Amino acid sequence: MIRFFLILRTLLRKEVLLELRGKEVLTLLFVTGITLGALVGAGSSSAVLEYRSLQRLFPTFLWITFFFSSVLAMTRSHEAELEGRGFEAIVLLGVPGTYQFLAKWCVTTVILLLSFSLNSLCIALALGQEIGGILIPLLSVGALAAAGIAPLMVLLGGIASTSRMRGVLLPLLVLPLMFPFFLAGTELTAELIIDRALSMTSPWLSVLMGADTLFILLGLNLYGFSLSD
Amino acid sequence: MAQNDCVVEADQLSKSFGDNRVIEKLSLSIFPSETLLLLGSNGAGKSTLLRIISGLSNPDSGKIHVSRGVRVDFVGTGLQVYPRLSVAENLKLFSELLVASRDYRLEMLEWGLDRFANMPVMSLSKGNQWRVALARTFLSPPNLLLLDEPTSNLDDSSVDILTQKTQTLAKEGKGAVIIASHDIARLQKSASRILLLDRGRIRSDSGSTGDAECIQWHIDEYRRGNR
Repeated sequence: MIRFFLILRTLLRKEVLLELRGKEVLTLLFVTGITLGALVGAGSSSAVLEYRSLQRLFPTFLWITFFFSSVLAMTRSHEAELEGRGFEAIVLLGVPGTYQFLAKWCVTTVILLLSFSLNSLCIALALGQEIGGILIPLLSVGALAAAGIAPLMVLLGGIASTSRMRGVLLPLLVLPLMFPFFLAGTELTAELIIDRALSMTSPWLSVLMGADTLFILLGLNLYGFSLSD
Repeated sequence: MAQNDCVVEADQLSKSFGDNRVIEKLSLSIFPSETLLLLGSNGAGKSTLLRIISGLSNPDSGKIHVSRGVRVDFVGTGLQVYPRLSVAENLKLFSELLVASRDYRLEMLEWGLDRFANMPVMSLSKGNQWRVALARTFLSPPNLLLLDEPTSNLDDSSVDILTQKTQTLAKEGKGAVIIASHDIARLQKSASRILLLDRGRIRSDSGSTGDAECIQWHIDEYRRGNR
């Protein structure tokens, strides 16, 4: 058990270092988020919409922005592994794919949550929405979605990494699988922004948690297979 | 020799990429303490064979049996390191993942990498990148080491370190080494067995006796074939 945690700590450090050196995923997530936020702001101000209408649009714009930036970032998520094929040395050391998946999942979830926080801020500013009072439940919904999208990014990124078509292949593979997160995220955010509270009995919360569980389990079981040719 | 004595035994391996058959019904046994020099022209299937033996690639048909407890390591295209990380970060990472590892600073010193310790591997010359990859693999020498064209970017002093380390590995009876290379001149002295590969098949094999004359005959055969 101690060995498991030591290996996981080492792999987590590797993931963080690789991301900090390249900053590819972070940059893509943040630049896309800010750009889409600015576009939403420009579009909504020229449309001269009422506060209530903007309030209703907030969840949809927020989740569309988050999804677009996530899908774009996904295409770069395995580049650092492929550059030197360092993951092959780790596989040959006998480190199970599950461990590599867990490390990647943790780091990707944190990055996605950071991106979601920035997206929330940008879209709230663009649509003139006050989210201070609902920030914690909103970020909790974001964290739940990030925890479920991250395994998709890791698993599908790994599967597509050996294909020269990965830039095209990944968005096509991932978009249909992200629908549960989009629907649940939008509904829960709408509930939050109107009622200023999150109902713990909401069926959308169950959808989000169910999708999280499913994709994390898939990742844990299948990621190892994506590491060989 | 029985299968149990082999480090690895390949039986009727075949592998194709599209219509291109790279390995064709190839059978091979590798024994402990062997340093096998794998020769063959470009496209003969050397790299593919090494990747299949390492387990990083699967054959289309045939079986590969690696003996229980044998740890295989492979250095080939890509070098199996993280180019964005520094030399020290790479070696520290892999030493922490190994169960028993030498101090990575010693290995760095031995390969003359200490002055590049904090530089990203991607910023080093090809030769120094290879040194990092080799230093990584000797942090804890494996039982079967597979090297794909290791000397093409290495200077003579680095080849000497590599030769000495592979010889130690073989002499101590701990491991076998397979080197795919065209660099006969610099690797001949460390080889105990020569295998000629031609279009995915074994053209000739000097066998495991380590007989110098036999090895020389096979090297001459390779040179004749390449003329």
